[in-house]
Amino acid sequence: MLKQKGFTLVEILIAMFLGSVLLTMSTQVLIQIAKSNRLAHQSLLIQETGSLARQLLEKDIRRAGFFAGLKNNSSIGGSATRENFTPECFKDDERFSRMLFPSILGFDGLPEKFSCLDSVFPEGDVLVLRYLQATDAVSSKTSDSNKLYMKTSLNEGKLFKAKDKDYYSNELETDSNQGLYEVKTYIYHLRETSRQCSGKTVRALFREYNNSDGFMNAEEVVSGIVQMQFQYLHNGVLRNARDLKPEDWQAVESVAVDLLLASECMEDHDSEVKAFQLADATFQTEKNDAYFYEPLHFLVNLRNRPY
Amino acid sequence: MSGIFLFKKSTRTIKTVQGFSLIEVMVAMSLFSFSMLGMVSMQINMNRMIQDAFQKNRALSLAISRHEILELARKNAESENYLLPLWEKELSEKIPYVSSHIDQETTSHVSILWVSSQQTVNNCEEIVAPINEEAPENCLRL
Repeated sequence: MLKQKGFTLVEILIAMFLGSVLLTMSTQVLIQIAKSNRLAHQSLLIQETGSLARQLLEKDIRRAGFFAGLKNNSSIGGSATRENFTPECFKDDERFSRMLFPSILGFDGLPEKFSCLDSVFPEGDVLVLRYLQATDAVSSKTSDSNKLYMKTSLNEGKLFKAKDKDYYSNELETDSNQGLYEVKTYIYHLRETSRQCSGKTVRALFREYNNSDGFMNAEEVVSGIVQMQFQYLHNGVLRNARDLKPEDWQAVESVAVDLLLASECMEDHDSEVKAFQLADATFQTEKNDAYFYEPLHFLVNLRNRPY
Repeated sequence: MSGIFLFKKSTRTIKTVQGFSLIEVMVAMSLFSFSMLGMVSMQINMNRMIQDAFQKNRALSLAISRHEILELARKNAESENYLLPLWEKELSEKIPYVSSHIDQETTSHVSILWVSSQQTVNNCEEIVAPINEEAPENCLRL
């Protein structure tokens, strides 16, 4: 009979027991590592979200009000008429781009007339910014025919659309210090995206901008922002939009931005009910709310204020 | 225990000793556990570094806001009197800060010192270069 050598049952049992203990231990460690890696990834994503949103808002808030020396009462002519501001629904109205002043305008929450915007998060603030951006030449592309431009010299401005650039009415009377600019309008607000995670709709920062067709168009810029509040420095005090009179907007010196950043999805971590105070709004987390939150607050001075 | 038991049984039935000795098993297990410990400590270290980075990011954000307040103060002192207490409140809420400082001569540098897991400096104002290869973990000068 063939003599077989091998492990006894007891040896096998002990080896299996030891092996399983080691395996459990190492699995636990690996699970922990994977979990903390996910958390680290989320916290990095949140920081990225914050810095992106900050960069965008900072750039446009700083430049808001740059009108190459033109003021509210300067003579602005041209083939495209300058409109006075009316808080009408701008969605299908190209006049909105031609309402040049006030160059900064905020709303506490979604104003009634703006409610034509689809699925805007109604409690977040809305900020409208306008400025001129220097350019070399008027675009000759047919798709840009309704793009808005401004020619300026000292105290005179001509507002016109790209297709009308050769009209006589768009020529400046003086040749000195001529400048050519694109007229930029941006509206920052929060919206609910079509994406969902952990059963909740993902909120994102959206920006409406005046496109080459002359209308305002929405684009999603940064995802993962659940609340956004603005306060405005006027006469040395931070105020909410509702406390500023229409004529006060031109004297706003600085904007305080309050953002609440959040992970897009819930994460497996211990969560407790927390409350965040953002300007005049409070954000309360829910009981089983396992999102990551990080408040971000910063101040941006406007560069172009009439002093 | 198990090692002795195995050894006795094998000497009775077959004369040669086969399998691992107790020493071998212990060396193997200690190596394994050391590597596990290493992985865990690496993880803890990484978490701490992420926390430090988070804190530094907050400090950076606060320092930039402080510069904006400084700029406003050049035009009128009113805004600074109003905004500075708000800024200091935010600073104390967001990071475990020790002190903040403005260079009095130039008013062009803001320095913030806080408590961190790696306490590399005790005085933030002495750091000459704001960004260098060995930037301190608990201080920011902008």
